[in-house]
Amino acid sequence: MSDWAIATYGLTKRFEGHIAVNEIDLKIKSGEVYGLIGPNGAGKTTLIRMLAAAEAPTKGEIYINGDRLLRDDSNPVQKKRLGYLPDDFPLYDDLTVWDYLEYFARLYNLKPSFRRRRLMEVLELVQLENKRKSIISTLSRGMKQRLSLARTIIHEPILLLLDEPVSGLDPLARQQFRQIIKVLQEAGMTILISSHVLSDLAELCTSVGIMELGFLVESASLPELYQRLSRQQIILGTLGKMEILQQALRQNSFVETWEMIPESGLLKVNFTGEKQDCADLLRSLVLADIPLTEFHCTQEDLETIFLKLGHQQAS
Amino acid sequence: MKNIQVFQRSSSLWEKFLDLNPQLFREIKGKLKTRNVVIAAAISVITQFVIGISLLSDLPNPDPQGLLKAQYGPYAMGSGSGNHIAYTKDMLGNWVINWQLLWLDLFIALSIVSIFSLLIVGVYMLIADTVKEDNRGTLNFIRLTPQSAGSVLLGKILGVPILLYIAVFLLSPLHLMAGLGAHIPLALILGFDIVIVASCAFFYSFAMLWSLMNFGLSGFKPWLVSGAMGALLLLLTTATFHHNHLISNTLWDWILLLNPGIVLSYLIEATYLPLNKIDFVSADNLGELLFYGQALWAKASFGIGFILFNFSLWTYWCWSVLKRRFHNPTNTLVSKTQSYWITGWLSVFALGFTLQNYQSYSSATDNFIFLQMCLCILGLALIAALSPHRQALYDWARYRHQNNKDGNILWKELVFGENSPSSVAIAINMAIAITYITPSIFLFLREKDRYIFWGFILSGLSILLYALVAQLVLTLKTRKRSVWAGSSVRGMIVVPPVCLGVADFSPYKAPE
Ligand SMILES: Nc1ncnc2c1ncn2[C@@H]1O[C@H](COP(=O)(O)OP(=O)(O)OP(=O)(O)O)[C@@H](O)[C@H]1O
Ligand SMILES: [Mg+2]
Repeated sequence: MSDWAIATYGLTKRFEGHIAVNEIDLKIKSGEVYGLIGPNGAGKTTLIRMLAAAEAPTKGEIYINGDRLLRDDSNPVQKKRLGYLPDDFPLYDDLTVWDYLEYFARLYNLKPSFRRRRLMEVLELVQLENKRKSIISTLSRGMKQRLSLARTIIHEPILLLLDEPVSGLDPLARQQFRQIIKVLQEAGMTILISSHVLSDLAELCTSVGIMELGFLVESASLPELYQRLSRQQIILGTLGKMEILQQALRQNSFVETWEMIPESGLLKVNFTGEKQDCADLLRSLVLADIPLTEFHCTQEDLETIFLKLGHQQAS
Repeated sequence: MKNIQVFQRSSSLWEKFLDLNPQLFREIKGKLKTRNVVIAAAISVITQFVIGISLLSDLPNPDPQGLLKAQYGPYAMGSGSGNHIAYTKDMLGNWVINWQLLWLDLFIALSIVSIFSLLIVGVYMLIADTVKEDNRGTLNFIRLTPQSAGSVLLGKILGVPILLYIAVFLLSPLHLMAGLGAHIPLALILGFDIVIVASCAFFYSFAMLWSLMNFGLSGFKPWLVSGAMGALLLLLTTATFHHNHLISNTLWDWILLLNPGIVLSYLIEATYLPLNKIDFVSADNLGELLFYGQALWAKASFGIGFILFNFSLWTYWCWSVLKRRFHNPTNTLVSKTQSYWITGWLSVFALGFTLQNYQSYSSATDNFIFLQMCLCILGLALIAALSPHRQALYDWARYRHQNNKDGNILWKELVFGENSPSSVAIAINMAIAITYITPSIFLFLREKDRYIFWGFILSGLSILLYALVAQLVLTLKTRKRSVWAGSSVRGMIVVPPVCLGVADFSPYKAPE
């Protein structure tokens, strides 16, 4: 099936004595931003390395856009489709930023006429234009990371595999990074990101997969995941007595439980109803003359869902 | 420190050259800095100066008034050899000097310096660079690009020692001048240069292969090989200088052909200088070497041609192993199919050098015994190169039915398959070699020496036994399996003879 950007069948990797990736059937549609999360040692890096053809699977098959991925000289076309950013992004210390990118542009057989323009483009995207004459060893960690990202996309891949691309970046740089990813997604790339920064993923991703002990335990689109696993919550605040508010809440059948949010004096209510039921609750509270200062519908975020699943650490 | 690129100008020819190979582009950008080029050029010039001065110091002192006593040196025209020939004067009172011999000495000195620096320093640079990239993980990126293994490795071989190439290139004008001054035909000088290039091709490919083998010790790898390379070259070069009878008419002579310096014999012969003035192995002696009974080295053209052919075969096999290795750094070093071809080629050549024009029957037997020893060494090397490790073997056993549609046919897997146990393949390799060698044993040896055949069978079987043990040890669950496998095979080789020795048991007396 060629409408999958990535499809794996029974993908397995064994290391000495244990299985790092176990019978994974991963399917990613093209154009998606797919977030891969899981505790340390779950096998994310191993999975991504196999998808990038940097590691040979013990068993199983990988199809990229419908073509079988093989690890040898035989598939230059397929290799041009992939962009892989590993978690340790090794670089060359003796080259300048420009030479480094030009080297990879050549390795990917970019046409000389096009090369210069493309280099300018990616440098602008990762905001390293003013550093292009610097030797790589003089860059900061964040700059090196952005340079690596530039290297990953220099040949205009249609599938990006990013392994923990934001670790070690400051909040501003992370914000910029999300911006870049959004630009790339709009350009039509399919992107697989593994990350431990779940708030970033929640903002970026269209789908999420959760790995645990080598298994892919969950793989769904983000809305579906929220619908299935996250509960609706309402944050309430009142000037009056809490007890009165709680009494009023008790009468609503959609309200399950609640808890006080310490310090803020707000109440977090787990709510099972739909939007309409929400509005009804608000109306009833107002009619009951409760002095509300806050009424705010939210969902449990990705982090809460992840923690709730109670994953085990591989050890 | 200033890092100005040497070639700022974007001349289109230079651009085109760089477009040929991205890896070469990278090496040039990284290494060709003005400062480095100046240092390389300076070293080259100083070397030439030192060599030139030391040769000129053997000339007689100028003596316009004719006051000095007799002077001695190697470049006098008189008869005799060595450094103690008296210089004579012509009728105008000038010293008569054998300029041709001086030029020849300069030519030889420059040749040896170039060979040593190209092969030792070049090999060191290549291994150090590749091991560094492999350890850092940057090599993995290159593997993921659409470049073929060949293009990347070629770029490295052309680019990493580029400063060395520049230095040696700066030697070449003086080298050529010295050669022409010594009346060596231009064709021979060019032939010699091509042999040097061919030897670099082989040793550099071997260096790349060596750096992609993973057996730990990575910091030590470059020193190990360039040290071994230096020792080998030193041995072979001193041998060419001080042995008039270098050719031993055994398989050992094959090694001699790996020294490009040996071609100098033909160049020296072409000068028609009296041989006693030059302490170098003579071309006549080279002519005594036979290959399947043919004296291929008697003529310069054939000799150089065959040396080139030999280098290109070695290079070819290195590359075929390299290409596979580059993309599968964790598999066994060679594939089973490759091992059969390599064994076949080695047997053909080894037997060719074993069949010489023997002085006596016993030396023929000795040659075959030497061949048998070399077969054992080949067998041990094959065990190391073909035996998969525990995890690979385990995966093969567990998943071969699913991974591969041929996986169900066991014999096919054992003979050709990747990561299957090595024993069957080793047996086939031994069989190939012994089958090829056997007819010659029965054709060329006396009846009472034909027990050699059983010697071959015995060594084939013991290699097979070692292969089984090594494979078994490699499947154990202990750590450091390779070390254990190596030690147990070594133990099996050493212990039996030691036991026989301790028991004071001699095979000659056995049937008593
Ligand atoms: N080269 C290797 N040899 C042996 N075991 C390995 C190797 N690489 C990874 N592993 C093991 O495989 C398992 C999965 O590792 P992996 O790096 O894929 O986890 P991860 O999900 O990326 O973890 P993290 O979040 O910490 O990056 C771990 O138990 C690890 O010890
Ligand atoms: Mg990881």
